[in-house]
Amino acid sequence: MKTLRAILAVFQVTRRRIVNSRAFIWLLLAVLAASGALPFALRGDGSTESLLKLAVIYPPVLVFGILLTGTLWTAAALSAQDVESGAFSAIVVKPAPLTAVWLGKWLGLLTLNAVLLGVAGVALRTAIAIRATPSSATRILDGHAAFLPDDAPLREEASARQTVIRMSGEPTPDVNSLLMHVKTEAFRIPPGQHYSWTIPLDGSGIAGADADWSLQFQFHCAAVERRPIDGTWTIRTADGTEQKIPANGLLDGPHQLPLGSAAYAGTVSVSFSNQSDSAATVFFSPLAPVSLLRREMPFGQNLLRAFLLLFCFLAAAAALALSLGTLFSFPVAVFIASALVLALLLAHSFAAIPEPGHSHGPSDLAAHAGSRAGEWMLAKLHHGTARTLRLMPLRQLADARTIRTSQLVRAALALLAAIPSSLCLISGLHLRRREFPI
Amino acid sequence: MNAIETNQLTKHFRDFWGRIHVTAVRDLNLQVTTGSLFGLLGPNGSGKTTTLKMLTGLLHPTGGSVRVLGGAPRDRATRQRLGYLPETTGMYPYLSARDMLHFHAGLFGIAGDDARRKADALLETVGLVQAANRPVGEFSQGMTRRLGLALALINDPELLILDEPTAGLDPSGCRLVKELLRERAARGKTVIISSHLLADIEDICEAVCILHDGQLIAGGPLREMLEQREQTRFTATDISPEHQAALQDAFRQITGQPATIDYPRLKLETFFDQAVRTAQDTTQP
Repeated sequence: MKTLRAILAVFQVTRRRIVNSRAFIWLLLAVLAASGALPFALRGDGSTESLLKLAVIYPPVLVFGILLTGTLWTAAALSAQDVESGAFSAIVVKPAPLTAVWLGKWLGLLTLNAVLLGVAGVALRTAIAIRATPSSATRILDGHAAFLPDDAPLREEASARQTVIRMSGEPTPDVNSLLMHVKTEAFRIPPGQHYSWTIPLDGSGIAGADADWSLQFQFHCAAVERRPIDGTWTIRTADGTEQKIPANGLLDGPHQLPLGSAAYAGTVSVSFSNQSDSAATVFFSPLAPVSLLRREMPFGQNLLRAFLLLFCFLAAAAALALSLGTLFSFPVAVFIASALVLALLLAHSFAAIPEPGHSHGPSDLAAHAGSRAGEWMLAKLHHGTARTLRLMPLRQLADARTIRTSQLVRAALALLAAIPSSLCLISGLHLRRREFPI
Repeated sequence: MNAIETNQLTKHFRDFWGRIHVTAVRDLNLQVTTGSLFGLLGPNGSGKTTTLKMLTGLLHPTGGSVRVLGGAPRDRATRQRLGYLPETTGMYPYLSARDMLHFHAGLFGIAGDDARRKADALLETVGLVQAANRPVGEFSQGMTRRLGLALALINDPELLILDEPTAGLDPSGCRLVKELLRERAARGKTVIISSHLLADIEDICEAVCILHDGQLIAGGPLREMLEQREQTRFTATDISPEHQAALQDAFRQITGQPATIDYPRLKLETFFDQAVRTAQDTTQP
């Protein structure tokens, strides 16, 4: 009970300290600008859909970036500046456990993030509601379950190519690298040609049920200029039903076409036919060329889940910076925390480079020993954090994917419980051992 | 029984390379009896604050040992019974005096009505009732010191360790602190004061130790240390000049030595206090 009271006392003081700081006001204004004003400044290709898509891509990323910076700064200040000002000396001579002091400060930081994320969420939702004309346009932002094409035939071809290369005695590339090459070649559709993807729906537990569907795809053009592409999408179901959807004047980039209410089941074939008089050859993304989307959840609910996940990430960042603040001086703690976050982002981006032969890709770097060491470290860093970073919801929100409850639970366990409690214990042990000469 | 015992207590401060940079305290043996008012004296840099920080567990001894209230300074049980006023009271400037007291009460696990009652009583004791709701950032140095004292008393500690408690205080504040400390000693609580204001220590402490360059150079009961056994003083009230001359003659005849007659002086603090009280009485309706 005494420990709980100590946590509460530190929490209340931390909360007041944050609210009374200028940083809080600036963060609030920045977050409001990013979430409430930025959607009004964005210009897409002129359509409401593209505008709404942009509105769920840039503002959440910007809000997260602002809050991450603010959290690292504030958290490091909360512990490091307390030690430097002598405020911590007055606290550590009290019988309250040092982990309770850490926990109280961390909970105060969570309050800051909860308030600012709440403000950002409401502002973004309101801005999108205002910009969406007609209001039903926001349906493309709803949470969807995604069904991806079966790439087994292409994988078999990649394996076959790998075997041929191996038998020729040349250095054998990784099968995944070859798969990317095979997909890139296969998904290249010149004018007058078409390509079909097979999307299995069996085993999803929704086969046969009436639902709202849409088709999502992403391509780029061979032409230097962005020329509009004319084509036709054809959806064929297992029972032979065929649905043709003209897609004229498409500019390269991501797209989402509503298919309406349907009861798809079994295996669905999706094909794109590039018209013979079309402006250029189209290249569908080898990573996610097309996907069938089944509407599951309203946008507001999905946005709430996305922001809850962002909250979990900010909580882990707060724990990290708070702990570093107990180990180092304020500027050093902020520097190390920021460097760690940047290294994580770099490792993640590095690992996401799709083609090994890319000018910035791993193969080019592998020629130099120093670069190879850096590559190895980034790869290890990515490998160690990939499972956690996959919980980041920004891409899912932008792609209109449902953020699953299981994802929320995993994020809560990892980012709200496991990481902070480990850091709390480490900080508590360190504070017990450290001296406070000021 | 001793509230504090140190044995060969030593503290070195090291530089970045681990070499001994300064020896702040060297082989200090100290015993402070429970219920006493003990003064720690010494010039600047003599090791007073370092000693207090080792007593409170803020610094680890390099050598020797320290027992506070029968336990280690960093034990939670010890800290539960300890009050400490640091030299620099790191306070949160945006909190009011009352909030600071509630915060520190919370760190002792005191909450609700109990915390409110204690905070109000301490604000009254240190004379900060009028400023209870003002942000601490607006406080003068003396007011901050008073609040620091109140914070150190929030748990009614058995051992109170004060580092320069009267620094920055006006004479009435000094008197208040001294009265408060005497009252605590009368209740059987132990108080340790570090100061270089000798008059304050002389006024209230029963025993002192003097540090110089980290070493104990003198210590013991104050009365014994200051008493000059080779001199004798008689005190009488309102004696006329004729009687004084007669007394001097008689003294010379009996002892064969001349006697010096002078008039006792008030301490400036006492005079100041009387003057302020008189002024307050005349200005009050």
